[in-house]
Amino acid sequence: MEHDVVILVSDFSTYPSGRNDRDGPDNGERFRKTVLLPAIKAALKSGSRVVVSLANVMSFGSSFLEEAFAGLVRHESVGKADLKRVLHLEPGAAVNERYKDAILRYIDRV
Amino acid sequence: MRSSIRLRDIHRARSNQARLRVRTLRRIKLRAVKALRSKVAFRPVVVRTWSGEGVGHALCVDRPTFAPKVLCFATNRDETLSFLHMLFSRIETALAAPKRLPRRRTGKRKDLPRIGGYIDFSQIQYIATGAAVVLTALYDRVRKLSGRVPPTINLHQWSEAAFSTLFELGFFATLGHVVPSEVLYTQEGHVRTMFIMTGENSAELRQACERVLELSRFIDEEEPLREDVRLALNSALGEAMSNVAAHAYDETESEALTLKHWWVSASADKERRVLRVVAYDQGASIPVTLPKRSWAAILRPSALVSTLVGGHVVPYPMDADYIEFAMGEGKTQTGEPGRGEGLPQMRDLVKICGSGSLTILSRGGICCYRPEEKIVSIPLRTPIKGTLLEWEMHLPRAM
Repeated sequence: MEHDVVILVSDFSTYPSGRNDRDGPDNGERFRKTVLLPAIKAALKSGSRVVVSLANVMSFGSSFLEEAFAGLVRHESVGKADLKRVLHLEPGAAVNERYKDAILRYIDRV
Repeated sequence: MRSSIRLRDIHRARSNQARLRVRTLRRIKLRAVKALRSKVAFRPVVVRTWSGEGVGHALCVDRPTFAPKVLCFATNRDETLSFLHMLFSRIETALAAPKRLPRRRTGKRKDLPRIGGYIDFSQIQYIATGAAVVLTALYDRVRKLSGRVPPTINLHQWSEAAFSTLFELGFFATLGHVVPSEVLYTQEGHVRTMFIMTGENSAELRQACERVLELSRFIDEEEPLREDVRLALNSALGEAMSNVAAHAYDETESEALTLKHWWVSASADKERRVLRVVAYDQGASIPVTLPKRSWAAILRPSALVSTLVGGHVVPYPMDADYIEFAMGEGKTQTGEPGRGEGLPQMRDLVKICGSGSLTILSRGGICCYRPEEKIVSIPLRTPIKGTLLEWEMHLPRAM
């Protein structure tokens, strides 16, 4: 088994927001396509996990979270079960738990 | 006997006729005076104009319109909305077909540019933050769409309340009358106000969040916003800003008159520990962008047929219901899956905070959410252009 891939959302942006380029530069679609999707695809091949850390992020707009994570299932044809198997969300702080739950809820709702 | 009755009747009839004649004459006179007053031509007056480059003069050829004494959506809603609606209509008319009034050819004031009526700010006694943001945004609309700085008229006659509130909010800097300074906040007693910010999408989110956080330090220097409240506030602001670029605009609106912008301001009341954040956009509004599906099931049947509320005709009787519905999770009108989480997230900010309110005015409805209380939804007699969000947060102490 390969090592886990760790993604810090804060490396992408500490203030991510919006769905696509129209909404703003640090949007969910861009995060999904440039950061999440390549890691998820690689993890599905290798059997490793993708650990996404929410630490040090200062805003969690629902549009961003929904588009980035639920968008993997809706737009990138990643299976819901596969995604849940490889994706591991690290809240990084107790106050981020609610946003971790929101992400899982959005994925379930697709 | 017979003749005396007749005489009495005749006398009565005559006196009745006389009274009637007097009343009729009075009525005619009153009507004539009214008609005369309205027809008396307005004598053009010279007004002072200022758009940042020295004071100028213009000849005003129409009567000014007085702004209401109180501009506030909470305490004087109908008059405030009616005034803003009138102002917006005038702006739209002017932007759609700019009217150039000819200059006078003769007389002492022949060289003065002429203007139609103007808005007189001299009688304003109070402007609430929400109304001030909408007012600033309306004038900013003129500047952005016409490319010209709208001049102030008779600024020296503006009431102290009007001038100071708009100055504290950054009205003159936003419109280009003065160069924006590095001062981002103004203070009056125990209330500090953040200069209005404007943008097109969430690119300025970091800047806006940091400014609001800084403002909150005024309430409590040692214990500013609690972390969960700060996160919820930043997230709600991000949603409000990104919504502007995406679905807050009506595709049918003329391209030339579409302004995809948001305006945000905030104030902090140190004494009451209240942080007020206002976000406004001139988009298509929540009721227009809601989907055409499941909402019908939750609406009150009466709302479908009634346009009379409290004896007054309301233009959009169901809008308040639409907004209330949209506050629920996953209630989108775009019909696209995964949408409709923005408003619930904005509502949750107040819930996380513990006390306070979120008031939303959007087209023909107003909704007020308070934690643990039923949402109050009221149809508006006069619609508002776009959507105004106003959070009032009673800041808890950090744990």
